[in-house]
Amino acid sequence: MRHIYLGLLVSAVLTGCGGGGGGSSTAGSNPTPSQPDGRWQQGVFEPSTDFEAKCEVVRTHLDINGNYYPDEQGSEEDEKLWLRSWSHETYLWYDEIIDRNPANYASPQSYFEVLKTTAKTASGANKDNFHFYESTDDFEAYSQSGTQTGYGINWRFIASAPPRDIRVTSVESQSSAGLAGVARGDKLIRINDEDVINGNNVDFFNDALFPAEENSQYSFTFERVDGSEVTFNLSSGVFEQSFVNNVAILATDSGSAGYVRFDGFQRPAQTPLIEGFQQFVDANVSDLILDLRYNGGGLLAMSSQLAFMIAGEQQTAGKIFETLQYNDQFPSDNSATPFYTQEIDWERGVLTNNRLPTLNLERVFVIATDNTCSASESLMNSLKGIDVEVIQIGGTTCGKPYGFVPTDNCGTTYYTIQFQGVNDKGFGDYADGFKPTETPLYDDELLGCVVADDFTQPLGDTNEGMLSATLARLNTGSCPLNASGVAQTSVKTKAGNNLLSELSVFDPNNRVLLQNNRIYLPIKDQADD
Amino acid sequence: MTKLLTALHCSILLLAIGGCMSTVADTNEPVAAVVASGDANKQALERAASELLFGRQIRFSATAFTDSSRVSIEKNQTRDGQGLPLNGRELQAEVIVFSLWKQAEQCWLKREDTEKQVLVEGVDCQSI
Repeated sequence: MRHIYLGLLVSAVLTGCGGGGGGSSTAGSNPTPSQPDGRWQQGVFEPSTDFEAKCEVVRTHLDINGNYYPDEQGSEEDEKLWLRSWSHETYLWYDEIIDRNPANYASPQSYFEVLKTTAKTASGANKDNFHFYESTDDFEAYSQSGTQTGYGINWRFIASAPPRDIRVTSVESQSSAGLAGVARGDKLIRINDEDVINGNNVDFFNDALFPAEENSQYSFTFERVDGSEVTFNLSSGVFEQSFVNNVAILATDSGSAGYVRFDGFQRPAQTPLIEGFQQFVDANVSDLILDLRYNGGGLLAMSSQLAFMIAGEQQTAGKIFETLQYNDQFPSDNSATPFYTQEIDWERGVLTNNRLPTLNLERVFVIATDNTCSASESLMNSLKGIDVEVIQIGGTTCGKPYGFVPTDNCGTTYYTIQFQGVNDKGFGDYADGFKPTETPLYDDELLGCVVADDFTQPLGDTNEGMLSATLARLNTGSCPLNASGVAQTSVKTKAGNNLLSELSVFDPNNRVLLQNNRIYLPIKDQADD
Repeated sequence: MTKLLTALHCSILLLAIGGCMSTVADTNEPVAAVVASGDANKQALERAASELLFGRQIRFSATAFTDSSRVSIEKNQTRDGQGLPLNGRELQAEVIVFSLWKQAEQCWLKREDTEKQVLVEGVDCQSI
């Protein structure tokens, strides 16, 4: 066995100190006027280590290994100056941060919110939509691998503002919802007696939709695909997620295609993923349809393994899966992820001797939506980087070629973009997502068909719109004529998200406010903005 | 006769002690264990695991330790409002493994990376 190198940490994780942390919030980042400058000198950046772990409130509890945090008594100004210097050192676009006086911000967290670029992408979306913080206590909360707390429902917010359209995309079979009979395509119309479609009780909806605790009980009323109404009393719990689903071998005009819906690059997914590919190898499939429509990413190394299983030895030999490019102050930290050819022992962080099965394909069909994100996009980009043809069916992906190393200071864990992933050809500029088109012109456009998610059919069913269109494209070489005509509203662009106001992750200022699935937007009319 | 009885009594006593020692030796050997499914067992295991994590919150599924003596945990995956992982490009999987043991009719939870263990109160373990 040899140790695997999964990437370079820019700065130490869990270096922090201080009190309590607050979690993501809607705390305003507008400066408070006319504050004294303190130690801030515009354009002069002391090393972040000068301010690290100097906290207004020193933590007294122990870390998960029973050690004291390295906190020393400091001040709020120390915490802000640490954020400023740390951002200057590690933020990917550090030279696009306007150097504002930290004294004008009410807290380290509100100051952090402005320590990012305000530039836009070509589509007009924010260049940086991924700037977060949470309390370190929340960051250090644990759960059993591969589990999630909730009802087992994966939701899709087709329309977030009234009249809302919230659909069930999939249900975990062993969850409260799965056992009760909630089904894909069910449209949420009431929770208890509250009207979800036009109601104003957003806090109640948040509590009900995204329960933080077990045994939260609500009555959910849905309109089914056939128009009937059904009510389920659901209780939240910790359920095991299934990441590898609907593995099948489908007949095609040219032979057979393997199909798998892969919902997350999470550690428990490795074994079923390898088993699925072994089935494809045994069946000698000539094509692969990889359904990543709900795969928001996860472990980069698993994405590399998957790319290897698709492309095989010959096409990946001597090639890089993805290089992480840091800012020009730390160019030597750039690190390359190879194509991993073996199973990984995640508990020990090593490669085993078990070789991965390979399909040795020169093309792959990828079903994608705007929920196809991060490590999923890395997979698509890395295959493109070694000239494996990626045919994209569905919608534009989320556009997240970036990553970060969550870093604690004084009880808050900060996420600031620190690296961009580029493929073997050095390409990684897909901040507006990969787009399917029949006539690709730019590097972030991929040959394929625009097709909307089809909630009227079960996932994995060959009549389901996206899978059906993929098979049609595979068999005929053309996009089906009605490919883009089904439920087009569910294919959103990032710019489109900016228009959402209620029950939306995007606020009117286009600032992302996220934490643990909860939506922290006060309800307000668009007219108020 | 008294001496004989005393010797016999001592022999029986020694046999009994020997027997007890033998039994003690067997039950002191820690063996991998599981528990029956149930809220009380789950909560007891979560409390024990939290103690081994110095007070951190930990959640197990209803089936944890019911069919395997080992359960791995990871940090909660913070997700955005669309349900997507906040950190969609993870460079490492930080996995902590707990194992359940039965020893001397008591149930022990061990954190494998630190090798520390705590008694799980009020739980009836079954050796496997």
